[in-house]
Amino acid sequence: MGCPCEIKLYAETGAIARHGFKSAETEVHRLDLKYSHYREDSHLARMQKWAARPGGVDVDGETAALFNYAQTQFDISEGMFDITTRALSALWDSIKTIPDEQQIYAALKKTGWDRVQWNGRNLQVPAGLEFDLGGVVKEYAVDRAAGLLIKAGFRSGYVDLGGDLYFLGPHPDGRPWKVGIRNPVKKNDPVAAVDLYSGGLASSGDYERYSEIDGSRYGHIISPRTGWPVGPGACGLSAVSTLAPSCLLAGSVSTLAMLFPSEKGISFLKQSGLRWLSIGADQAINGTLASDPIASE
Amino acid sequence: MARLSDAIRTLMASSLGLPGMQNLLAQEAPDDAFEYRYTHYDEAPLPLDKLAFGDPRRYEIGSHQFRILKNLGDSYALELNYLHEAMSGSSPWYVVPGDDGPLQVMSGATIRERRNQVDISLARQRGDFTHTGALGYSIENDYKALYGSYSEERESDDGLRTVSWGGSYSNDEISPTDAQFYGRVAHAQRDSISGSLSMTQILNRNAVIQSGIGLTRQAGFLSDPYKQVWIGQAVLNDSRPDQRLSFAWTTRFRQYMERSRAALVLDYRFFRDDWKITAHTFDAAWRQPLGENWEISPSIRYYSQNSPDFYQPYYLVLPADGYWSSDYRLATFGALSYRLKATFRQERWSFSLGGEYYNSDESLAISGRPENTPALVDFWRVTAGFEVNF
Repeated sequence: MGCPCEIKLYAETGAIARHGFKSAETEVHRLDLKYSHYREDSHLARMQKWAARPGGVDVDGETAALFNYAQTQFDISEGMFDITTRALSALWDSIKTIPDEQQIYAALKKTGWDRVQWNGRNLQVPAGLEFDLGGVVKEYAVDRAAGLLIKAGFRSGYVDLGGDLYFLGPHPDGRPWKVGIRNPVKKNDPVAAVDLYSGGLASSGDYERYSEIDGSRYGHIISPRTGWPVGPGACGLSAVSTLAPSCLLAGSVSTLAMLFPSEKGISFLKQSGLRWLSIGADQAINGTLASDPIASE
Repeated sequence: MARLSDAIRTLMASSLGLPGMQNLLAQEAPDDAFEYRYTHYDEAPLPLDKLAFGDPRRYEIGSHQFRILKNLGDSYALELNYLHEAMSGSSPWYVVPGDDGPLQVMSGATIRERRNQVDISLARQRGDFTHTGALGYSIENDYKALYGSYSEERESDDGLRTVSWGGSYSNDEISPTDAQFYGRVAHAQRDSISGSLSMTQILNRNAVIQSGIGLTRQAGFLSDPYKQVWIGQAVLNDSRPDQRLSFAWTTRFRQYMERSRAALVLDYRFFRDDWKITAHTFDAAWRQPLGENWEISPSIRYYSQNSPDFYQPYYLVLPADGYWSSDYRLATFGALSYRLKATFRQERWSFSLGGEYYNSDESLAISGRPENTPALVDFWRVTAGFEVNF
């Protein structure tokens, strides 16, 4: 998955825990092989090539479900949550200076879910368009791994793929997991401690993936409208964490909140019915998730 | 969890298409709940031009229902139901020929009855399986029933299909009032055993279909001790076969409409038994959320059945096989019922109010030979209830 991953399980014996761990790890690895855009031999890469040919390509059921979900994200966000912005993220990931307007324009021309022909089974894309399922697959992989563990009877532990988590249940003695929400700027400085029992937790912001250009941080969430990373400058929120029944849902809600203009992002979170926490550019903490806020310095 | 916004529910519904996601989202244990519901049921009086003699006022029933759901740990859920019913009114006895068609004889004095029913069920979830066992007891002054059931449900690996099967057994004891005075049976019993198999399949992110079959075998005293028949000047007790095997096939289709956020629910039930009764039920309901808190649901149900061979409104000669019944519930008839329900939901509680008007008539039957059946009933039913989640 290209990120630090951790699975913690309580079981009656070490062998049972190892068996659970192995099956979860295999599933995560399967999804990594299938959907990674870092791998040229991935299923996604091959599918992308075929989809650019006349007649497109018929995709498998799991991929179809992922695209259907991506379609819903696109609709709900009025086009802001777009899985076709690979050209833009590649541009911002790879260079050391702020790209010029021409480079951004060229990348923008290679994006746009509304230019994809998707009927629920057959996929056709314009040449040059590339998918970035990073905002969906990592969270989905957390849920898949957690789902297999729950099915195998594990009720205590968690799955953590690079900060996207699913809690199977509390410690065996009933104590919750204490989770520190990090300050996006000062990495080792938690801004809030949260007690969690079960469910998916995902954060969006510039915690792990960002480019530093001329001393300024540029996050990995790129607006498909402007071609620029959204960040404190654009939306006023520096990071959002959400707790939801699945990690996928938590991740979508966190990212959607970051993509909306600041006030809409906050009202979207307030209306969601989920527990959430946002950190503003001014380090202001908002939300219902922080039971025990820690004052930041 | 608080009530989720439409956007979140849309995302959640969309994610259910992903393999295994159903499993994970269903993992959220239902909240502990307390529910109370009051139902008032009121049958229209028998029209006087159809009455031979007796009291034309028919049943009125008030019932109080309580339900408690309590989760025990991660994998067990205990449910307790209690029902108290008070009914009053008179009931149809038998039919006599009249100058302008058959006339109904009703019981004279008003009948007053109370019924108490309690049942308890324990469900255990383990992996893909849910096992549920239930026990129940119902008591009236002239009727006792004890029943038990067991069922299993299994979800497929991809979470898109659920198969369930189960069986149940019930033992009913009848000891009619004033048995000696009216020449009714003093004490009788019947047993009933049934099995069912059903499958639910998620067709796509917005559509679900469920289909199932059930078989029921009843044996013992299956007549109604309070019903009588008129056979050529004589009045005899209701007499039905003491065995009955019935089959039912039920199918339900549910379609969610993204644009209007509404759901369409269509049901069909086919019933057939070895008394040669065939019945069809069609039900269509629309569930429309209004704003964040309201849901309005209008629905319509159509029912049609044909009578068994041994049914007649009255008899001129004694049937040779020894079976006869003039119970209007066995007649050939059809019925339409119109329902409207409104629900107001807040984060932790909900309140609902519903009304139903039911109208039955010989001419609404789609098959069978309709005969003039004076006791066919029309009724109103009003239900109010609230639920609190903890």
